[in-house]
Amino acid sequence: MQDEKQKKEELLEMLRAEVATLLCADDVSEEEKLSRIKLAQAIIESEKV
Amino acid sequence: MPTTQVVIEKAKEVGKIALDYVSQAASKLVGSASEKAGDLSLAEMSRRLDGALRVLRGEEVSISGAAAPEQKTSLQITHKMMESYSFDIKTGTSTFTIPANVTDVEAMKALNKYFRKYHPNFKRDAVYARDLDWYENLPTEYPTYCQKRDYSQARQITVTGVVKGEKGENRTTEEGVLNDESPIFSDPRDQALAAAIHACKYTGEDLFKDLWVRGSVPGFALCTGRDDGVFVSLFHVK
Repeated sequence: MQDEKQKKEELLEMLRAEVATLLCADDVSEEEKLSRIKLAQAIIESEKV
Repeated sequence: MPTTQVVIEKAKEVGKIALDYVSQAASKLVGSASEKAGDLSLAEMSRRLDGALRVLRGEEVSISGAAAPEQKTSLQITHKMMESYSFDIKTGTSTFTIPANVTDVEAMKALNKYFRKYHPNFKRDAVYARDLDWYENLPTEYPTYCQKRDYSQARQITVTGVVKGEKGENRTTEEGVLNDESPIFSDPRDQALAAAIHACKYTGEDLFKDLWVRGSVPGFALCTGRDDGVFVSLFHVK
């Protein structure tokens, strides 16, 4: 159980890092960043969409 | 106002709004993932996060769902359309692809579902729900104006915003101008889909919101200017 919790936290950390990388990207427009972030959220919440 | 200038100015406005939304959206994404981590199995969470990470990196991603292979979920449909959508700010041209085996109205309904969830601040749909029946019956009611669809194939659609006419003219005069010039109009379904995909993909703002009678009269896609008089805009297929 503890192991699973830790793995989940590692996955979340990867997500945070990827979001931070995207936010800092100079070669991606703000509109495209927003679009990717919303779509990523839709995938995570996919059973509701 | 020069040709397409209005469309370009609108796109710039939308770009500014996007800047403010990005950080808020990023926080929501991380918060949502953290919330889900408590409910989902490790395998399911890993699968979803893998898809999300690939989207964030801008990679091609296939969204799997519970539906049968030949049946696309609304998220899959929306994702494919948004992924394919591009808007050329210089020409005002929108291009997008509707996946195979998806009708126009199915595409509109999928966009509405996405729009309601991710743009809840807007008190409207991406495509007005009350118009869906009208769009569905277009080909039989107005066969001259509507392109014949082959839903078995993915179809790429290009819609270009062109601004014509003069400020201050009334609607009748401007419709007359359009008739005299005999422009080629896009299918009303294409106009509606272009506006809806743009709104879903970006900030929820309707880039084409000033359209006067979008879709309600086949062959006409008119715009009104905002406070600065009236101009006519039409969309035509290149």
